[in-house]
Amino acid sequence: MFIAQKHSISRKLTWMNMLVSGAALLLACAAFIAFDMITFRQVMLRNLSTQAQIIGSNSVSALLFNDPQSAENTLLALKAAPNILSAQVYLPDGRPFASYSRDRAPHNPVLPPIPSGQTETHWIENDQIALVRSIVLDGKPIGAVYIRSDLRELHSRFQRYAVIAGIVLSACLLAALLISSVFRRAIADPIVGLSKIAKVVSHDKNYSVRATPIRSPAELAILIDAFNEMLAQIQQSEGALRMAHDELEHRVRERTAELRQSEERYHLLFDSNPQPVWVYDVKSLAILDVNRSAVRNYGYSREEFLSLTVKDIRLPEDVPALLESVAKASPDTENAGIWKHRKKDGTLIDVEITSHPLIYDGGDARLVVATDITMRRRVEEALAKREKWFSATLASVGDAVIGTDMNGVVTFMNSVAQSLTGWSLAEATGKSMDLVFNIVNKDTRRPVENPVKKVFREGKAVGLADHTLLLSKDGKEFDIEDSAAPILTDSREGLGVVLVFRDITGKRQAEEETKRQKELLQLILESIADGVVVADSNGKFLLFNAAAEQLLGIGATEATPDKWSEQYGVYLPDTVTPYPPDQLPLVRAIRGESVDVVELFIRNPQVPEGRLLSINGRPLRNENGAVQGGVVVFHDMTERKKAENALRQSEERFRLLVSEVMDYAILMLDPEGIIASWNAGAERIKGYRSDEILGKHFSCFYTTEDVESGKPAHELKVATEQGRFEDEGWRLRKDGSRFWANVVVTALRDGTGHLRGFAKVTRDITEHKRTQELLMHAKEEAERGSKFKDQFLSTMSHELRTPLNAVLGFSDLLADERYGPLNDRQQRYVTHIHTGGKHLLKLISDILDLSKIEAGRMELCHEDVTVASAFAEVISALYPLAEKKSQALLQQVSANLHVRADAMRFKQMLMNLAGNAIKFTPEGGRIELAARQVDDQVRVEVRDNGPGIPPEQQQRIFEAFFRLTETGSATEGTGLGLAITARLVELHGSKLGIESKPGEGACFYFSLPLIAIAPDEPLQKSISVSVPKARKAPRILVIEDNAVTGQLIQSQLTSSGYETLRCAQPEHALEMTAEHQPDAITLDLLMQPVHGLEVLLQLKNDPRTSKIPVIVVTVVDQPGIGTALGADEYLIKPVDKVTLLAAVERCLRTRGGAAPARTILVVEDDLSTLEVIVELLKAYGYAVSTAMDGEQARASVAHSLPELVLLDLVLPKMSGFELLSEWRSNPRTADLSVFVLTSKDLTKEEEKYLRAHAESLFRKQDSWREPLIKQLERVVTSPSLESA
Amino acid sequence: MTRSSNPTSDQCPLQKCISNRPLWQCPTAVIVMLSLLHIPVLQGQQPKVSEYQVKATYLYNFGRFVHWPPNATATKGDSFSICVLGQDPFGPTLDSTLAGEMLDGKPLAVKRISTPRDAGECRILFVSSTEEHHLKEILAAVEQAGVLTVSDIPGFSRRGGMIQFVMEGDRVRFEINLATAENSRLVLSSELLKVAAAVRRNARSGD
Repeated sequence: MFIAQKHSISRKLTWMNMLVSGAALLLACAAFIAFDMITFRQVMLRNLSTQAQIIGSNSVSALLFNDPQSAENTLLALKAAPNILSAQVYLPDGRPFASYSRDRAPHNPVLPPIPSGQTETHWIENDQIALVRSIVLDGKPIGAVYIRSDLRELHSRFQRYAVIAGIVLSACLLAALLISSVFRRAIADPIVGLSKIAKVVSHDKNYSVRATPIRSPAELAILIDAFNEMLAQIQQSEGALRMAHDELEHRVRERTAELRQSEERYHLLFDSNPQPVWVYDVKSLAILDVNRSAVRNYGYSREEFLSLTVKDIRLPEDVPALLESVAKASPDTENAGIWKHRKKDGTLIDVEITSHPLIYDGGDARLVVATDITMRRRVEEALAKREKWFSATLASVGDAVIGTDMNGVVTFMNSVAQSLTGWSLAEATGKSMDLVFNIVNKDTRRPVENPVKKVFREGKAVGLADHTLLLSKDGKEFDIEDSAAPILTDSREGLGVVLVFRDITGKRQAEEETKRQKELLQLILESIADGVVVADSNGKFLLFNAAAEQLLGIGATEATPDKWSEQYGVYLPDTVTPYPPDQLPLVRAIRGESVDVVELFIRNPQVPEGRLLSINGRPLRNENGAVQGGVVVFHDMTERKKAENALRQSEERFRLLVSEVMDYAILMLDPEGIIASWNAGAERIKGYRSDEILGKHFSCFYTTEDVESGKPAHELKVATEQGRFEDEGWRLRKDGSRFWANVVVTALRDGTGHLRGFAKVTRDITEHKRTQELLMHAKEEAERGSKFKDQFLSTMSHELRTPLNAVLGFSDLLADERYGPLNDRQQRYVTHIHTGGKHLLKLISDILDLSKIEAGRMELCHEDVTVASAFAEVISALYPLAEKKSQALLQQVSANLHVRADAMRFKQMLMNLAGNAIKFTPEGGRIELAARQVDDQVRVEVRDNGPGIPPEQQQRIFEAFFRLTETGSATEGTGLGLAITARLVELHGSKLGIESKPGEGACFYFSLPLIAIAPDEPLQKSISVSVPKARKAPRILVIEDNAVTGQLIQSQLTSSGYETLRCAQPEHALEMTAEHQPDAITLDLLMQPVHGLEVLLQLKNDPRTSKIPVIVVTVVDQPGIGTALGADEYLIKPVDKVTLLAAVERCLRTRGGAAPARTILVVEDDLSTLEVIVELLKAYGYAVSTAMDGEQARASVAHSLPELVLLDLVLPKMSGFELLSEWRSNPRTADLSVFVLTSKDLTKEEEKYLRAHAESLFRKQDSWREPLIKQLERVVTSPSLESA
Repeated sequence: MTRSSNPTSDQCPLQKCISNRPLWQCPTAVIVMLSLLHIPVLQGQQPKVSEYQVKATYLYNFGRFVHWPPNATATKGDSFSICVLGQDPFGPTLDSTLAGEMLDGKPLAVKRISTPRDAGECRILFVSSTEEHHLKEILAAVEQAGVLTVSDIPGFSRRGGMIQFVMEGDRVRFEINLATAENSRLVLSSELLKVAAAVRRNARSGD
C-alpha cells in the first residue's frame, strides 16, 4: 500500500511487474523442488526396499542353517551403497542374527515390529530412513532385514536445486525489469502529461489549455478526449454564470427604489391619522415617532414629544401597569384599555389605548393609537348613577316587580321578584316572561294567560284574577295577586311592561287550617278505640263516636239521662246491681263534676256477655265558665282485668314453685346483697331456715378465704355489669361443712333499668364433681395407655425387624456364594433360613398393620389412584408366583378409571387378595383382577376359579389367623392377609364382600369412590408418575457368532433394562463398535473367522473404541490372558444372569469414572445390619465408612464430606431426624445425598419430612437391597457419567 | 505408518511397552502371549532345542536347496520321502517337525527303513551311525537313484556321503561333498554351499 501512495505511476508499474513475475517464479520453483524431493524420497525408499529384499533372499539359507557368517557376508555387499549406515538380519523371535555397520561399530537394535498383514515397514527419524522387511519362506516369516540409511543424498540434491532456483530467479527478475521499463512508458507518459495540464487548470483557472491527443485508440486516448471536452464545458458554463450574476444585481436595485417609495406613502398615512398615534421603544419606553394629531392634542411639539418617554404622559400611579403590559409583550394586537393621560398644560384626559407590537429600526417597539374619550366617560357615569338609584328603589319595595321589553323579554327583576320566582336577575335577563313568571290556575292547575301578553293586547293596565299560583323555578308554589302596566314613552310609544305582584299564600292558609282541624278532630274521634260521648246540659247527645257505639252496643238515643242506666244496661262492677242513674259519670259531668276512673259494667242485648268499662268524665264549660254540657271517655277493661287475674295466678304458682324446689337453692338478694327470700331447696342445701337467714348478708355462705379476697362483692359487681355471673366453687353450710356448688347470680332490674336486687341460684354438685374427676383420671389413664401402645408398636417394629434383617441379609449373602461355594445341603438350609426369615418378617409386618388398624392408628393418605397402573404393579409383582403354578393372571380394567384411595394400601389390598387367590387356586387355574364403574363408585373384584369357600366359613375368613380347614397347614402365609384387607377396605369406607360357591371359585369385591377426570388428563398424569425422567438405557454390544448364545445374553440384558445390539460377524466388530459407541461390550472368544482375542486387540488398539469396557464371556478358562489384553471382566460360560449383570454394572460404573472418590457413610447402630450393608456395598465396589451412633456420624461428616450417607433413623445419642435436619440447615452439607434405611414405622408427617429432605427412603421390612443398589448407581455415578 | 512416531532406540520395545502403555497395545508382547496359547505363529529354532531336533529341521530344509533330476528314481513316489536307515536317533521329533509340511509340491513322509534296497524312492536318506559299517554298500546302492545322502557318521562326506552333520560346539553345521552329489546328478543350490562348513569338490579325497 505504501508503494501505492508514495510513488509515481511508472515506479508503481515497475514494482508490480517485478512482484508478479517474482512470485510466480518462486511458486514454480518451490513446487518443482517439493515434487522432486517427494519423488526422490520414494525412489530412495524403493531402492532401500530392493536392497532389503535382496539381502533377505540371500540370507534364507543362512537363516535356515543358522549360519550368521554367511548372512554377514551378504550384508557386507552393502558397502557398495554409501548411504546405508547399518543393516541387520534378525531371527523371527527378534534376536539379531547378523549385522553390518558402515562405521563398524557394533550396532544391534532390536527388531521393530512389522504391522500384521504387511511384509515391510519404514519410518524416518533423526534424519535417517529405517526400513524393516520380513523374510518369508513358503508364506512363513523366517526372519527380518533391517536397513538404516542416511538422507545425505536427499539433502545434497536439495541444496543443488536451491542454488539453481536462485540463479533462475535473479535472471528472470532482471529480464522482467528491462521489459517493463520499455512498456510502462506507453501507459505512464500520457497520464503524466494529463496530470500536468490538470495542475495548470486548477492553479491558474485557465480553462483554455488542452491536452495533446494521442493516436492510440485505447482507454488513454478516450480519457484525454473526455478531459478536453470537460474543459470546454466548464469554460462555457462559467460565461453563463457571470451573465446571470449581472442581471440579479440590476433587479435588486429596482426593488430597493420601489421599497423607498412605499415607505414614504406609509408615513403620510401615519401622519394624517386623526387619532394621536406614536411609536415607543419597548425597552427604554422612549417615544420614537409621533403623528401630527398627537402633537395637536397633547400640546407638545414634535421635537418635545421625541424627547419624552411614555411614562411622562401617564399618571405616576399607572406606570407599574404600563410596565407590566409591556413586559407581557403579547404578539397580537392588544387593547391596553382606558387610561388617563396628562397633556403638556397639565390637564388630564381619558384615552382608550390600542397598542400593536412592531419592529421599529430593528428593535421591539409598540405602535399606540390613543382615542380621547373624556366626554363619553362623563355621560356614562351620569347614566349609571341614575340606574343605581332606580333599582335601589325597586329593591326596597315590598312587592315583586318585573320589567320586560316589548317582546316580553325580562329586563329587570327586584329582589322580591327574584326570591318568589326563584330566578336570579342574571339568569332571568334575556329570558321570556312566560318562562320566568310561570302561573297556573290554583284549582284547575292549567296555565293562566300571562298578564304581560294581556297588556300588550289591550294597551292598558290589567289585574289578575284570584286563585293564581306562581310556580317558582325551585318547585315552590305561591298564591299571588298581581297587576301589569305598560311602560310608555312620552310619545306613548310602548317600551315594555312592568309587572307587580305579591305573595298572598299566608292569608289563604289560615282559612284552610281552621277547616282542616275541624275535620281532623272528627276523624280522631271516629278512629280512636276509646268511646267518647258528649251531651249538652239537657242530656241531649251532641256527639257519640263509633267506638262508644261499639262499646256500649247501642248508639245515641233520644232517652233522657234518668233512663240511660236502664237503656244501656249499666251496672256496678259487681255486674248485678243496676247503676244509680244520678251517679252515671256523664250525668255527673253535666252537673259540673269531674269524674276520674270509674268502673262500670255494661250488659244489654247487644252485649250479652257484659263488658267492664273504665270511664273519665268532664263538664264542658263556655268562655264564662258556665257548664254547657259534659263529655265522657271510656274504654273496655274486660281483657285487661282478665290478664291481671292470670298474671296474679301465675305469680302465685311461681312463688309456690320456687319455694318448693328442693334441688336448687333459689334466693333473692337486695342490691346490697342482703338475703330477701329463701326457698326449701336453699334450706335443704345450706341448712338455714328462712327465719334464720332472711336479712343476713349472703357472704356467710362463702369460705373465709373467699370473703377475705372479696369474692362475694366481686360476684355482685360482675352480675351488675354483665347481667349474669356463674361460678363453681366451695361453699359453706350452716354446720360449717363444705360443698361444691354451681352458682348463678342474675341481676334483677325493673322496667326503668334500675337495679332492684339479685336472684341467686345455687346447686350442690359435689357428687357430680367427684364423678367428673374420676372420668378425667380414667381418660388420662387411657391416653397414657394408648401412647404406650403406640410406642410399643413402634419399638417392636424396629426391634423385631432389626435382627431379622441381619438373618435375611446374611443368608442372602451366603446364598450368593460370594464367600465361597456351598454344597447342596448348605444351600438348601440357607434357603430355608431365608424363606423362614421372610415369612417371619411378613408376619411381623402384618401383625403390626393389624394392631395399627385395631388401635385406630392407621392413617390413610387419600389421593387419586389410577386403577390400571395399580393392577399392573400388582400383577408384575405376583406374576412369578402364578407362573410357578402355571396359572393365568389376568386383568380387566379401563385405562382411565381413577379412584380415591391410599395408593400403597390399595395395592396392599389387591396384593393380599390376589396372593391368596394364587395360593388357594390349584395349578393351571385362573385369577382375574377386574374393576368397573358402578354409579359413582368403582367396584374392584379379585376372582379365581379355585375350590371356593364353603358358606359356613365365609363369615369367619375375615378373622385374624383364620385358615380354611381343608387347606390344612400345607399353605404358607400368616393368616392375617384377609383380616388386614377387610380392615383396610373398611378404613376406605367400604366393605369387603365375598361371593363363592364350593367348587366354583371365589370372588372378593369392594367399592371405592370414583374420581371423574377429563378424558385426556389421566393418561398424561399416569405417564408422568410411572415413568420418572429415566436416563437413556445403557447400550451393550454383544459380540457372539453363535445365535442362540447371543440371544440368551441379549435377553438377560434387555430384561434388566439395557439396550442391546448383536454383532454376529466378529470381523466387523470393530467397525460396528466404532459406529454405535456402546456403553459396554460382551465378547466371545472362540469365534470364526476371527478369534475373540484378536477382536479384543483391535478394539483396545483403536482410539475410537479403546475406552469401551469389554466383558469376555467364554468357555476358555484363561482369565489372565483376557485381562492382560485389556478385558475389563472375564466370565466363564455358562454365565448366569446375576453374574452377567453384576459384571456389566461394574463396567458401567468404572467407566463412569472409576470407583467413587469419596466413601459412602453407613450410619447404623445394629452391628449385624451394619455388616450386611457394608458387605453389600463392598460387593458392588463402593468404598464404605461406618458410624454406630448419631454423634459419630456427625463427627465423621464434619471431618470429611462423604459421597453419600446411608442413614438409620433410630440411633443412640442423636436420632437420624436430628442429624438430617442439622445437615440440611448447614450450607456445607445442605446438598449431601442422604438415603434413609429404616425399620421404624413412620407416621405420615415423618414420611413427608423424609420425602422432602432425603434423596431416597428404604424400609427394612420391604426388600431394599436391590432398589438401594439401583438408587446408589443413579446417585453416585450419575455426575461422572454426565461428564463422560 | 503407525510406527513412525515410535522411536527405535536401544531400549527393548517390550520393556518400553510395559512401562509406557497397556500391554495389549504392544504387538511384541502379543506375539509372545499368542505363542503361550499354543497358536502357531512362527516356526524357528529355539535355543534349547535338542541336537536332533535341529538336525530334523535341517533334513527338511536341505530339500529346499536341492534340485533332483526329473527322471530320478527318488522323485517317482507321490510323496517327498525322508528316510532313516538304521536305528532312528530322532525319536518322535522328526515326525512332529515334518508333519503337514510340503516340499516340491508333495507332502512330506517319514520312512524308517532297514536296508538300502528300500531307499530307492527316498529323496533324502539319513544314515544312522549304527550303519557305519555298511556305509560303502549303502552309498553304492543309492548312487544311481538320485538320493541325497545325509549322516552324522564322522568322515561321511569324505567317504562318499553327500552331506555330513558336524558339531561346532553346540552348533550343528554340515559339510558337503559336491562331487558325490553331482555324481548322482543332484544340483545343490549355491545358497546351501554358502552356508556349509566345508565343501568338497573331489569325490573321495584321501580315500
